[in-house]
Amino acid sequence: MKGLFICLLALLSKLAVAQNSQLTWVWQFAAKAADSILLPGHTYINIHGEQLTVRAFKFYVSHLEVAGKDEVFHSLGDSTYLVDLADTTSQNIVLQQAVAQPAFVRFTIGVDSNKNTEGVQTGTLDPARGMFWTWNSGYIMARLEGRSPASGAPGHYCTYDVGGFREGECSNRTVTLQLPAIAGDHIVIAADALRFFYGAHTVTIAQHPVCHEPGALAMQLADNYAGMFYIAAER
Amino acid sequence: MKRWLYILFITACIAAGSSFIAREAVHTPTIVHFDIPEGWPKPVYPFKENPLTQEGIALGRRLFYDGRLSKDGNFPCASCHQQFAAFSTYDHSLSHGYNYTLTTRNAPALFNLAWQASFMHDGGINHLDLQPLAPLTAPNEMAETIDSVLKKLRADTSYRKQFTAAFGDATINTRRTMQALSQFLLTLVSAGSKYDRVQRGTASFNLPERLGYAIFRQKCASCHAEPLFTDFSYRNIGLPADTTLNDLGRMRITHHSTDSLKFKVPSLRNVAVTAPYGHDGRFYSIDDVLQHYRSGVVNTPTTDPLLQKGIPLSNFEIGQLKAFLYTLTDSAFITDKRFGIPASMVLPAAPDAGMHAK
Ligand code: HEC
Ligand code: HEC
Repeated sequence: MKGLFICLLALLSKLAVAQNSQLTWVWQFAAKAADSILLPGHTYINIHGEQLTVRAFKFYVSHLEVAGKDEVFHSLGDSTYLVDLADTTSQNIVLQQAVAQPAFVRFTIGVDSNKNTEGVQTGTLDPARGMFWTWNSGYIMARLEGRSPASGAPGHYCTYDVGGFREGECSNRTVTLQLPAIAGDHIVIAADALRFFYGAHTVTIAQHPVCHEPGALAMQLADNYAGMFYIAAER
Repeated sequence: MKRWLYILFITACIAAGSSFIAREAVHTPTIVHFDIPEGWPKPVYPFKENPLTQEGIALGRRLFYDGRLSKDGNFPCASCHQQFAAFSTYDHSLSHGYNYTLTTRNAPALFNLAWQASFMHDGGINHLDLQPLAPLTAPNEMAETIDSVLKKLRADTSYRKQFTAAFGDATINTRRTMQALSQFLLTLVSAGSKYDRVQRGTASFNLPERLGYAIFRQKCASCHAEPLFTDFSYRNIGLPADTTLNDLGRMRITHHSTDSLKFKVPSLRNVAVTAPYGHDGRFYSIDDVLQHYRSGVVNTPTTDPLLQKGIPLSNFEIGQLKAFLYTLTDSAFITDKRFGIPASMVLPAAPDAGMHAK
């Protein structure tokens, strides 16, 4: 009796798994500081020679897409993910592969503008995650936080909360990356936190120790970190 | 074969039993219809995503009056939003928050929120459900974290029961907590003033009120538009920033210099009970406000064109305007028991209460 039930259950769950595992594809986000692995509490030096001891590094990714050689992009679902340096599980996004031979991936660093205006969201977008401005509704799309002797802010803290979804202040950036010829079922997307400080704009900790609202500085930081991603060879 | 039949029978029994239990546990909440007062525009709140229910409203009302939503228990929403002052803070230009702090703005009255698309004096909050998160987490208001509030609520069996009644299961999360608060706030409809009765033809203005109404329509209604007594725009009425607060208003949100010193046009319903006035509560009386319109407007590049020369008002006209503004008080609203502290939350009187009475 009991045995039969268990058999039935096992069969059912096996069916479910089989349906899922077929095309599973993992995107692993790996936090970096230039070429080193980024670790909380460790000190790194940015391109301007400024020291930075990182306490937090997290960002939202959404609108995940994949394309084959034909560069026709297919959506990988509507989910928004919060990638957090402090939480390894958040760094591995498990997806269903949508094309046979993926050649490109594309995603948005940020949160869809609709989600910024439709009240209280749940899951990764729950305002309790601390990535939401309560006094000026909208998500903090990315955060880099730590201490630096170069910072003139109280406690030598430096905090970059980047956000903004309204026209003219939209900090969402689209990133497209080319995959190596044999990508496999597990790709590693490196995110170099030190790219907050250079790229399209020069941002020094000394001059800008804090960003805590949408606007010009947030836009510059977003332009910079849009270039922080690259496909890494290994995990 | 016989064994199969037996299994089938048992399975059927379990299925029937569990569906019966499920039906027992999930009783559906009672839908409450949202009445739109005659002649009013359509509300903007997305009721579809958060339909009003008796259970949801009751839960929201409890949350609104519960001090546990603040860090030290002393600052429920209702500490700053008092019913007898139409849910503004009575007699305070700025309100008291956690640990002897003060808010940086005057607590606005709360009513007719279903018609409002953005909140706060600068319109920085774009959804009613998001509004409570601001005071909840502000160090100079309730000084809490969302997680800590949720933890307190989850630990309380009676809250778990109320969330189940309102939302179908005992999950207590940010969205549900905020949606429940919204449900209560949405029921705060104020449409029962003498002015409203006059509009419906069941009362009539006396002479000063009638004259005041005419002046109002001529000189004030372009911003304080009927029937809500605001057009929800942001305007600079010629108030220089207080140098200790340096509040640039709408510009803080949009970063456009053209929005400098602009604040949301407040409704004037219940204005007689919501003193002090202005975004920082700098005016202690309606007379002070009218004096400002008459002779205090400071011209800066963003001062509203309608006010650049001030609003000419004689002393007579001021008297009549005030007579009209007093007809906007909805005494049924500010005493309505449905909006007050739930009976179960009222603390019993201290044994020596009688000795303090006089
Ligand atoms: C410490 C005092 C204080 C507490 C506690 C408080 N508020 Fe407020 N409330 C204010 C002030 C001040 C404003 C205006 C803020 C601004 O414009 O910057 C405000 C604004 C609002 C508004 C916007 C009204 C409008 O017309 O734009 C709503 C709604 C509101 N509060 C609801 C609540 C709720 C719900 C709670 C409890 C979760 C709460 N408040 C707790 C002081 C308080
Ligand atoms: C150009 C638009 C405009 C006109 C015209 C105007 N007001 Fe206002 N009124 C405002 C704005 C904006 C505020 C809020 C200012 C602030 O918060 O600092 C306000 C605030 C008030 C307040 C304070 C309300 C409160 O709760 O704080 C009163 C009372 C008032 N107005 C009455 C009047 C009267 C009476 C008239 C006509 C004589 C008038 N207003 C004309 C835009 C206007």
